[in-house]
Amino acid sequence: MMRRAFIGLLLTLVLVGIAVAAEQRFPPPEFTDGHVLPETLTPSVSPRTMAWVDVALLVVGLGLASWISLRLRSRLALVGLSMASLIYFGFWRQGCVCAIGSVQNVALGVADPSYAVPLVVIGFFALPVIFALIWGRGFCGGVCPHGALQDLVLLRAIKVPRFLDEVLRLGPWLYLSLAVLFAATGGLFLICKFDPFVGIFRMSGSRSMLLIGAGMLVLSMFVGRPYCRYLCPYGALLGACSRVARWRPEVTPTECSRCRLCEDACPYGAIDKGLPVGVSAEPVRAGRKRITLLLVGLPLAMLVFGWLGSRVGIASVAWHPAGELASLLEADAVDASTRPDELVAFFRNDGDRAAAFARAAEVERRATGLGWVIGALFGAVALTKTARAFFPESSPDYVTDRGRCVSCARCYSSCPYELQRRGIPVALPEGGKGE
Amino acid sequence: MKNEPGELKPSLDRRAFVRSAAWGSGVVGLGALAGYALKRTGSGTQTEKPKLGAEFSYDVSRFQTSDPALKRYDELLRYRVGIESARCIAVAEDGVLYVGGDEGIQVVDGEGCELAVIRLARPVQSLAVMGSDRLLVGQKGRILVLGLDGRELESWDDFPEDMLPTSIDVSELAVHVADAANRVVRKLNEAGEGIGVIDGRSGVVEGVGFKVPSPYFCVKTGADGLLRVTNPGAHRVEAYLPDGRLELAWGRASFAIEGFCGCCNPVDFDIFPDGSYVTCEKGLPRVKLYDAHGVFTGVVAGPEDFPEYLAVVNAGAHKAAGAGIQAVIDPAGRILILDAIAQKLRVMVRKESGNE
Amino acid sequence: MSEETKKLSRRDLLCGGARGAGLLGLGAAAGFLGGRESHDDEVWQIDPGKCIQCGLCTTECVLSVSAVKVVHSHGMCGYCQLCTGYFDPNPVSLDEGAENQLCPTGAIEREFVEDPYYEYRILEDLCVGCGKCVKGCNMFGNGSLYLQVKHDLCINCNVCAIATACPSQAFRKVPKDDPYLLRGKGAIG
Repeated sequence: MMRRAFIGLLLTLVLVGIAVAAEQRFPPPEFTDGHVLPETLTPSVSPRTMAWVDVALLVVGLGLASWISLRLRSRLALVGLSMASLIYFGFWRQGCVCAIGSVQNVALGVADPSYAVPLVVIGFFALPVIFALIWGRGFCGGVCPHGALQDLVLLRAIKVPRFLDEVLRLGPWLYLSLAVLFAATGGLFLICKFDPFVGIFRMSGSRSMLLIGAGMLVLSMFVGRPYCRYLCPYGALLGACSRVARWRPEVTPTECSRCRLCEDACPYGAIDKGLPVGVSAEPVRAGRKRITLLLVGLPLAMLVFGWLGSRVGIASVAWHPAGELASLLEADAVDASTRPDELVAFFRNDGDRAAAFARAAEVERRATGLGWVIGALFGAVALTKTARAFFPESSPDYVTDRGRCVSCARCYSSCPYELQRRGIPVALPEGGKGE
Repeated sequence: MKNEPGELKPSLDRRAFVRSAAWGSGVVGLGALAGYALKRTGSGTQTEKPKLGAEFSYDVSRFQTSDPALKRYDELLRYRVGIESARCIAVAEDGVLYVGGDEGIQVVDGEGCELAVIRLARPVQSLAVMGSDRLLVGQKGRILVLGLDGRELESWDDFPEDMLPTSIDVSELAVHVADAANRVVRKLNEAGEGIGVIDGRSGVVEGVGFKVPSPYFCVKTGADGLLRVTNPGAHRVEAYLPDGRLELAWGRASFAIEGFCGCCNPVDFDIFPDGSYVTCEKGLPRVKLYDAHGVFTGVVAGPEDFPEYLAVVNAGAHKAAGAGIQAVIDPAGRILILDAIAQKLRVMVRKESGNE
Repeated sequence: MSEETKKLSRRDLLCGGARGAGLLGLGAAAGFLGGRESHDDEVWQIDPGKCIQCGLCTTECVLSVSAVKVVHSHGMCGYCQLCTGYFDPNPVSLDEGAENQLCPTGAIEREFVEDPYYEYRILEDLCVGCGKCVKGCNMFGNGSLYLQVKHDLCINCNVCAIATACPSQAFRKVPKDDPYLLRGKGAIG
């Protein structure tokens, strides 16, 4: 088909060969039979890159997800929405530009004044955060194609042991810290490089990429949303935002009678066990213990992890083009025949050795500073999560965990009050809270 | 003991200890895993780059050396030229060298010391010394006649606007100008008026003119009065009678040392008093010797003598396509080679060993 | 009881404050970053003057067949019978036999125009963007063959994987309306 189009263009082009020749620095041969020189074909950019449509659809999707999870409370509707998102944002737009990766663009934009973040990418970063701050993680449950894919293939969720779960939940924050650090120093976009599912969306990729994607899919069949819970850096951010949301999904539409029917209803471990019937709310003491730990440990944790972060920052320079060039220049032997490509290109373009080393030093300075800041922030987060893990706050009722709930609407149908709301005749549990 | 919700389990120290130990080792393990993953997936981008197979690599390194036994000349001197983008040279009878480039002409003596610089408005494409007092400067669309001090005496403009004189040769019969853009050799008299055109169509292949794919087209008149012209696209040197008929031709296309490499070579040549040739090639920078019948007799400078040139062509640079090698024979019998990529001039002298 | 309601409203206050601060900060960041000159309408392209034909365009593109192909500026071509971008350095004979060709996928088409000129065209369906012919053309010829990103194929990733890996930093962003850096138009080296 391309071939025919090419030949067709060739025949119908009225390009004047002489005009082309006049533009050249040395003219092509003159043909006695009036042969027309073919013009270099320049196909224009594919119309699939209408990114503003994506932003509009993102807003619609987010609104729908929030409305379905909070108001309509229908699992079926949410499944439909997430499948539509999977098809559009996942397979049609091939997962790029995505909100998860947008964190890196924003990080680079904040750190580097010369980098202009595309407006669409800002939109993809900000919109799910705005919705999460007010209405919870509707993005995760109804719009994100990665989440939709994992949701789709979930067969039977294994219950991850609590302490393992707590430890692994530091993963997204670690990933976020590393991704922000690497992106802000101008080096690597880690999230894009290590995204397990984008190879599936594109239906192509390197062998290792596809193998990892397949592996994650298989894992998702037995562990609910492994990427979302233990890796997704954007999920860490959204989780933190949804902790202060004004409205969030509640298991029961009306009141909780602690009947415990919803205890195992969440495959992602996002329902907090309430207190047994007859026990009142947590005393102030546990809260005090938490705050004490935080006040004492925070400076220490931030210092230690800040220092660790600066070490990682220095190491990250090796992945930066400037750092890589500098280390290659240092190791450069005089023999030109075995030079790596970067040095071949550098010397061919009359590179200045001193300037290259200066650039690398500048990158290292910036990376060290950023490492301190990001490391300290990670330390703070790690300590906060530790404090909450050891001294958990517990509400009397069975509620969704403010940070972990991805608004997937799976748990609603386990609550008898919800079934009652839907008009299904069911026996309500005895009594309300306590006696 | 009241079961306080803040401590869901009774305060068993062992339990708490085990939990905190598991917690601690979990955090450490997580960090170690992250670090290990980072290390494995690439210590710098070099190690992890997938390589294409050998059939995808362009490797002409086996041609980029020459047999030392073939060398007939030694390098006496090498120096950087002092004019930007130098591309042509001409030598006068007293051994003074003129080097032409984008900004004008540098005048150098036999040892490489600069004598003068003549600044010109337009880039210089070719040079030739006329008689004992005049310098012909070929530029796009015209030929300037300068005095040896740089004063402009005449300007020969009666040419098509796109004429590109890449070589000028002065003989008793005429001034020959090799016009690469129009692929013809123009014959002029001493006043610069056109007296004829050689288009090469009566050449080796009837009806087919000179094949000049790139701006390298060279003419020189031999002692026998025949005009030698390079036909680079055909990898030949051809000799024409004054009336434009072909008399003889020699040369073949080959990457081997005896042939002319690439798609359009030789780019320049000069003739000894005995009729033998020194030829220059671009792409594989080679300066070679042929006898009067076109039989290869030896090497003046092989590719290994042009390391800067090789570094640029091996790096896939396009400017290699626009930079050649030029050579002239000075009155003392030395060969002067201009390397347009390194912008250096080398003076080569014949070896004493008498290999003929 | 009153302690509980007091605590709830304090929590509400804290959450509300955090929410407000988050929204404000987000808005400020978005406005600040968005205020810079936007490059929404830009796509990736190769600068042929910097490209060293290292072969990574073939292997690094996230698509299974790279979106980078060789293009031919015919106005710069010498139309040589012995094209060093088409032929192996020492061909058996100057014909279109596969053993004489440089291109490992046979993606160059050779057509006789008139004596002594031949035209060479790239077959995009077969080209993988390795740049072997580009090397040959640059080394001996006029440099009329070079690599370019083809925008009917490229999916315009946020960060181009080839651009990241390119050893000579030859990739840059160009306007969507003029997404090619062609040779021979006087602009590029």
